[in-house]
Amino acid sequence: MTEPAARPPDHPPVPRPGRSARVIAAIVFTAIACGGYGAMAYTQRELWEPQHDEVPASVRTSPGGYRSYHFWHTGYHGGK
Amino acid sequence: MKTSCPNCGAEVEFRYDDSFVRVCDHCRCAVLRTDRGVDSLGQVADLVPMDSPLALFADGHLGSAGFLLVGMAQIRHGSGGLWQEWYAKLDGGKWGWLAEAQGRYYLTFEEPAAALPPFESLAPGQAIELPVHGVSRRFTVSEHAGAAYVAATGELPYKLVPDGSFRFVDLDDGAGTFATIDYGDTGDAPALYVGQQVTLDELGIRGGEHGPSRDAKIASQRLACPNCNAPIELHAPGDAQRYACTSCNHLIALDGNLRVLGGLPHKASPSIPLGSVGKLPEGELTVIGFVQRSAHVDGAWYPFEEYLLYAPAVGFRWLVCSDGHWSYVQPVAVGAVEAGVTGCRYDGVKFTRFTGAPLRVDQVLGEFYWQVEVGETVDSEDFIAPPAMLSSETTRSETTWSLGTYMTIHDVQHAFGDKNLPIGPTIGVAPNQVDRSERAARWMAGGVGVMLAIGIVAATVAPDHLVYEHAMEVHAGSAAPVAQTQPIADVGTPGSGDACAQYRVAVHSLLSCEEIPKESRDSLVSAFPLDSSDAVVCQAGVDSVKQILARTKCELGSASGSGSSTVAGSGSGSSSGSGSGELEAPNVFFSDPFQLDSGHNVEVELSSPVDNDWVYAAADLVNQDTGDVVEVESDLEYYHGIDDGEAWSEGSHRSTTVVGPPTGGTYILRVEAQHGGHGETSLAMAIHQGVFRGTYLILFLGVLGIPWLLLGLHAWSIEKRRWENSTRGKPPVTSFTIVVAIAGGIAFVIWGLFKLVARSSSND
Repeated sequence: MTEPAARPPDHPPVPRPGRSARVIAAIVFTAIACGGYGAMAYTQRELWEPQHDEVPASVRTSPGGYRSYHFWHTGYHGGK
Repeated sequence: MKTSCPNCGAEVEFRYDDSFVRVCDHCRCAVLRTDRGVDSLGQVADLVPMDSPLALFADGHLGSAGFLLVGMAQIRHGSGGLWQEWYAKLDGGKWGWLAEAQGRYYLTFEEPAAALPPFESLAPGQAIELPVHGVSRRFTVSEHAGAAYVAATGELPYKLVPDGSFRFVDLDDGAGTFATIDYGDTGDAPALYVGQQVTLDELGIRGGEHGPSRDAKIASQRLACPNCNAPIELHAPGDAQRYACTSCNHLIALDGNLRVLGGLPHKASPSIPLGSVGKLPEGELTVIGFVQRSAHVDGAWYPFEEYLLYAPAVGFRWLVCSDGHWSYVQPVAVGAVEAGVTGCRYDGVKFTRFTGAPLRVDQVLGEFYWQVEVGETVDSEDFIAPPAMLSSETTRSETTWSLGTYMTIHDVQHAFGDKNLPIGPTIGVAPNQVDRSERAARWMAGGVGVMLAIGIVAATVAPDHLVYEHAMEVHAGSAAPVAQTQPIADVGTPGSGDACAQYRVAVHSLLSCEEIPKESRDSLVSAFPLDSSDAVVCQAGVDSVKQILARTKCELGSASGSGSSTVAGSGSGSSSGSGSGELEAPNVFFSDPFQLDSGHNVEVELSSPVDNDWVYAAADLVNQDTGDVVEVESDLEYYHGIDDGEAWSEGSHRSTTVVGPPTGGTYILRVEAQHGGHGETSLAMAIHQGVFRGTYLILFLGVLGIPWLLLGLHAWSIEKRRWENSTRGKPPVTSFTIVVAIAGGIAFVIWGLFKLVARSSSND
């Protein structure tokens, strides 16, 4: 490890602002937000997935199976 | 060479062949050696007592070369200050000039220079090129003044004329190189001396005929005020030139003899008592003087306070208090600052010009290393890069630069170990006060930029390919009571009698169940055709009916009455699609199988040209291999009209639902729809994969952008208050404001694009 070069006389270093809790919180928050969006953009995951179910083959192959399934799972639907 | 003093006859010895003048130790006559013998240049004054770690015939070294201090001259600055110049004879015969002023040491050597600018052409702060070892280098004029020889001792390498005056220009290059151009008296040829500021540790000074060892600490000196006889304690006796008595408030000159210069109009009352010792960034420093000065801004004088600090190992420093805000101030070499019109650069940092104003001394108290006077003025300029502030002060003959570092009240109280130090409170925002909100907002602004970049990349690389599309007819009202053909299960398998009989009983039980609304029972007719004859299909139907009945209070009835119901209708279903997998029921549609990748999201898009009407669609994305079903619902409704002469509309013709990356495999889409009006309407469906999710970009931009906006507004208000006290009166355009403007513009454009897309979709 080398020693830092001596500064010339009357050449004090310019102070840099230190890290404050507010700045650190902003950095963490920014990293989480950017990371979160980046991860979602990369994986293409959804925050709110539509309902997933498993319909047995017996239902899928039975007459009325799908209809009864929907009838009981989605109920009445209609417009204005 | 030994000779006799031409004035007193005492023996005078020239030890070196190339020295010009030897001061007689007996009569203080300056003896000049010439080709024709010796001559007297006149008598020099007695040496002014000055504490110095240097002494005649002390030795030292510069690198590997040794030297001996063989002579010294005391020189009075044109403004009254006194400094000493020692002459060092190096091994090999070279002469060096070692200047000693205000506890600093500059070792220079004569540099041959073909042409030097005239004295009159230079001014403080001016930059010029000077040759150093044959290479041209840039220097800045720090001082442009005159001086006179006062006294001397030992051997001198030039012709010193007692009381002779000369003009000089001091310069430095900001990188530690110091230069002096000695213009001599009017008509003399200028000479250039170039060297560096050095420390005594570097030179290894030791010994000498008289004077203290360099290791001896320069002790404070106790005197008495010539006006009130109160004790005076000088902390830097070698440099002190003025003292404002803390008892009688008279200003005293310390140049040689103590002289009362006069009473001061106002007695200063510093918040930090003189003599206090503070632990500051460069070590322990003592408060030895106090000055109250004022800045002339907009026709008014605004006071601020300066505390002069001193420590032998550090030198002179300042603690400045303005509006309750404190800064620790260190000197900066003039040449180290690259000054400009709107700012300057120092140590790689850009400083923005904040203000410029004349400064006036109003009150003084304690000890000073210059000839301070109440009422004296200088021109000042301040440049800021919080927490730093670079300040220049310029007189007719000199420019000085200093670097201030912001300190909180707590820092100052902690430095002096006194929590009750009567300082504060702060007023407004200091020029070099750090704004944490602004720095936090900068990070968040960067984050917004990064997020936008990610969004642009994601939008660019999103494949967004169409996997499947189709359109179906949706009949009005509930699904028609149609018989359903069987695309999946076989019908009419032998041996199905018992199972199918049970199935029919079950269906009758379902259709007669009062717990189920009439409309729903009607729709179930098409779902459970009574003409099934395959045992497996019938058994599955029984299972389905039992599941439905299990959720009601109805029970599974007996087989009696089977076949008496007239629930089966005639098929009138559409077959507008490919027909390969489509049911004949009018409002139910099964797609052909299609492939979905596992790595991309899936968008189910449903659209219908409804007009004051609605279409409800329930779409199932079914993985044929695993049975996994993703259910998507969509209400498509669009209403419009005119109320009180004003047109209105609501709803949309289109809806999209995005599903995360599915398990890769073969899928079918089942869509069942209802339509509230009369007749038929079409329902278009499309499956896209790998779509860009702009909603999430906006959502995350909002999550990050709202706090950023709040912090940015807070930072802006602070900057506005800070710059109200500046010459320009308003904050400058910085990279931060540019980022804010760009980000705001991008956000506005994105918002506008989304609005356009939404409008065009609703028009479709």
